[in-house]
Amino acid sequence: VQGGRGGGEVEEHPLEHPWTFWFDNPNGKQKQATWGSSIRAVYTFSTVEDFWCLYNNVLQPSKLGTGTDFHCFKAGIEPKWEDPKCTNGGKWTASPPRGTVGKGALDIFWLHTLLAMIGEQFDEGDEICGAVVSVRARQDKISIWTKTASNEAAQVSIGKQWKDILDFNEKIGYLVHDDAKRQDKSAKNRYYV
Amino acid sequence: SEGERKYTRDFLLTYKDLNQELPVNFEIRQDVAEHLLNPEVGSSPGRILDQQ
Repeated sequence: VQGGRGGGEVEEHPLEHPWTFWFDNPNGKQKQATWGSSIRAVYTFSTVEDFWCLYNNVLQPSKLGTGTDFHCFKAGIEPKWEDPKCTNGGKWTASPPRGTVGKGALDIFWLHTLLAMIGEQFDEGDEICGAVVSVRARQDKISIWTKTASNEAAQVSIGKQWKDILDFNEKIGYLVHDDAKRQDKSAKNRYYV
Repeated sequence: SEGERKYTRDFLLTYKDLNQELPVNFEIRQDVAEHLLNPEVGSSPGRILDQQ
């Protein structure tokens, strides 16, 4: 693939999958009548270069408004339980520590999660649907959504590799979407690593 | 598997500073742009769309 940035012909680096960023706007709720839903696809990229062009121009998660969800999912998969690729899945969730570094860990966790996904660093990468960072007043979260909740070995592999990638030592849990749908807040994690 | 395009974090990071401008085909709704785009980043060729 040939691009033309920087005034010359530059060879771009294609990714294994195209990916789509989605933004869920916390202040758009009142506009839902016209939006249908507040979640919006922002941009689909398929090269290393286009990923950075987008990443370098959007706010870091620590600067996004409280209530925001910012997603990066494989193109063609909507970040919703109802999507056919998500409906039998679940998610690993990590809560970056705030502590003395403020929200710095959130931004680093998010970037390292994105780079591992788009760079195909997970052995069970085919299982991954995407990731979402959720900016919340009490506790920010990052989740990786996967396809087949019943495949424990694949999910545990992803969870362990993710913790290594983040250099995160706390226990993380895997919540099955179907459990979350049926049991709401009382749903319990299916797996831990 | 064979043919997979795998890139390490360190490799990907070497391209970070070389790609600063929004993609030429980038379009975004005004109301999303207000909440998502970094106002401290300079001009870009991306297009801001009206809300409709």
